[in-house]
Amino acid sequence: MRRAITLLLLLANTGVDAAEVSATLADGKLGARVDALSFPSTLPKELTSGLTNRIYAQVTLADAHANRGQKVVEIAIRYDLWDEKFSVVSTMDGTIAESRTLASLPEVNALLAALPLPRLFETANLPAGVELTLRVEVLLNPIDREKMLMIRKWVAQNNTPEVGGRAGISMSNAIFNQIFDQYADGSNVAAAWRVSIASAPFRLDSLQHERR
Amino acid sequence: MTTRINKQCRIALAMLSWFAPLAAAQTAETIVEEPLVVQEVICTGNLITSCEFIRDHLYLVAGDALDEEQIRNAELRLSALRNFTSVNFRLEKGAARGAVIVVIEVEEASPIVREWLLGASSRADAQRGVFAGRIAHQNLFGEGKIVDLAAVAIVPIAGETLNEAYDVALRYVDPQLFGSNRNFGVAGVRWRKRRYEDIYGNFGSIDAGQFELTLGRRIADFSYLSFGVAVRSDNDWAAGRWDSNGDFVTSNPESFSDYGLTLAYGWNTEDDLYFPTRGSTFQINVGGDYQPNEPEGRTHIQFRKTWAGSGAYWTFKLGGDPSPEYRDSVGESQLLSLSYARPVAPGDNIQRGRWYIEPGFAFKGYTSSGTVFYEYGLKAGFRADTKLFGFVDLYLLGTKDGSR
Repeated sequence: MRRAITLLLLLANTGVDAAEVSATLADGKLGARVDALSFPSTLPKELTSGLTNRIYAQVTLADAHANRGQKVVEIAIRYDLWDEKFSVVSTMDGTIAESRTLASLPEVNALLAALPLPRLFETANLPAGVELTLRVEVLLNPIDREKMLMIRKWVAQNNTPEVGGRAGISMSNAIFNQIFDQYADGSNVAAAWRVSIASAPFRLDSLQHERR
Repeated sequence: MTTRINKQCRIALAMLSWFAPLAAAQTAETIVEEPLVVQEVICTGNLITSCEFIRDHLYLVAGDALDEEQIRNAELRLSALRNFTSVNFRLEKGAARGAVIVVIEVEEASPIVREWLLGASSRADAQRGVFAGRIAHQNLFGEGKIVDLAAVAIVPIAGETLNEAYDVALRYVDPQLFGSNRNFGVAGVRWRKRRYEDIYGNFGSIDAGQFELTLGRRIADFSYLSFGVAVRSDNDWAAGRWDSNGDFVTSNPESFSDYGLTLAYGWNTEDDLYFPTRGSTFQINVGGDYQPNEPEGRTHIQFRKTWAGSGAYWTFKLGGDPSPEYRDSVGESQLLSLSYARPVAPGDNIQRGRWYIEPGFAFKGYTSSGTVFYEYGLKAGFRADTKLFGFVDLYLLGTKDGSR
C-alpha cells in the first residue's frame, strides 16, 4: 500500500516554471522579454559543445477577442572552440535581425536569464487603449515535423534487432518519446525542452520606451 | 583512443592550416559560417555497446565537412534506441584549426526491464483483482539475448461465478538466432493453473506445466513466420461449454494433450510496443492453444492499429494486446475494442505516460439455451514508464452481460 501511495504521489508530481513574460517597447515596436526561464541543467554543457544551439520563440500577441499577430524569433548560439567566444545570431521570421559575440558563458547565461525578443510588432497598427497579452512558446533545439516523420520512418524500419544493438521490446528514451507526444498534440515543431508562458494583460499606453 | 586520420582528412587539415590566420581574423558574423572538417569520431560512456555500432548512426566520417544537420539526425536516431538513456554530441579541437573531433557521449540504459500490472475487473458476474509482474534482462552476454520471468495472478474477490488463474513463465529469447537478424528463437518453461465457471455453466480448468520452443524467421521488412511446440507430459485439464444448438459439450481436445503445435504468421510496424504512436501489428495462429473456449482463452487472430489525431492516440484492437515475434504482452482486454489515449506530461519520475479509456465488446460463448453470450464494457487506465518502478499499468474494467 505504501508503494502504491508513493507511486500516486510521484505520478501527480509536475514541475512548475517560474518564468515571466513582460512587454517591451523600442523604436515604435512592441517586443517581449522572458525572464527566469528554467533551461535544462545540461544547457551550459551543450552551449560549449561547439555545436549550434537554437532557441526558438514563437510570440503571439492577442487581445480579448483575437490574435493580433505572431512572430518567430530564433537565437542561434555557437561556441568557437579556438577563439573561446560565443557567436549569437538572432533571426525574426527567417531574416537576420542581430549578430553579436559574447566573450564568456556567464555573458550567455545573463542573456538567457532575461531573453530579449525586441521589436516584433508595429505599435502603429495596434490600439492604445486595449488590453493585450503576449504568449511566448520557447523551444530549445526544435525539430520540425518533416524531420520527425523521417526519423519515425527510420524507427519503424529499424526495429528489427541486430546483434549487440537494437534487441529489445521497446524504445525507452524519454526525450524521444516526449517529442513524439508533442506531434500527437498537433504541434508543427517539437523539442525535448519546451515552455509556454503568457504575460499579464497590459496596455500600450502604459509601456515606456526602452533605449537601444 | 588512438587517433586515426585518413589521407583525405590530412589534405583537408593541411588546407585549413594555410587559412588559419585568415580565419582568426574573421568577424563575429562569419564565425558561424567557418567550415569545419571532421578529423575523427569517437565515443564515450559505452561500456557494453561497441563504438562501431554507435558511429554507424552518424553519416559522417573522417575527412567530411562537418554537417550539424547530420549530427542532430544521428542524435535522434540514437535517442530512438532503447539502448541509451541519453545521447549527446560535442566537438573537440582537432590537430589544426578547423579540424574537429566529434565526440558521441552515451549513457547506456539498464538492460533490466521491469513491468507491473495492477487491475480490477468486474466481468460476467465475477469480480477479480489482476496482478502481474515481469522482470527481464534484455542484453544477456552483451549480445542482445533476453531472459524473461513473468508471473500473473487473477484472484477472485467476489461474485456468483469463478475466474481464477495463476501463470508463471521463464523464457530465454534469442532475437538473432544463429547470428542472423532474420531468425529468432524462444525456449521456455511455463506453469499454469486456471479455473473458471460462468453463470450459464460453461467451465474450464487446467493445472499444467509445459516446455515451449518456438523458431521464427522474419520476412521482408516487417513480417515473420514462426513455428512453436509445447510439450506437457503431465496435465490436468477439463472444459465444458454450451454450443449454439443448446447441447452441453465436454471436451479434452488432442491439441491440449501431451503436446501442442502452433504455426503463426504476423507483421509488426509499430514504433513501440507499450506506447505505439503509429503502425500496426497482426498475428494469425493455427493450431496450438488458440481456442477461445479453452482455459487459456487466447484468440487465433490479433490485430492492433494506432493513429494519432486530435491530440490523442486512437487504437483499434482485436484479440487484446499483441505478442509479436518473441515478445509477450501481459494485460486484460476485451475481444474488440477502441482505445482513446492521451499522453501525460513527463516529469522527474515519469519518463512517458498515457491515460486511456477503452470501450469494448467480447463474445464469450453460448448460454444454456444456445443463444450468444456476449459482454460489452469499458476499461479505463493509466500506463507509464517510470524511473522508480519500470513500466506500470493500472486499470479498472467493468463489463455487462449483453445476453441478459
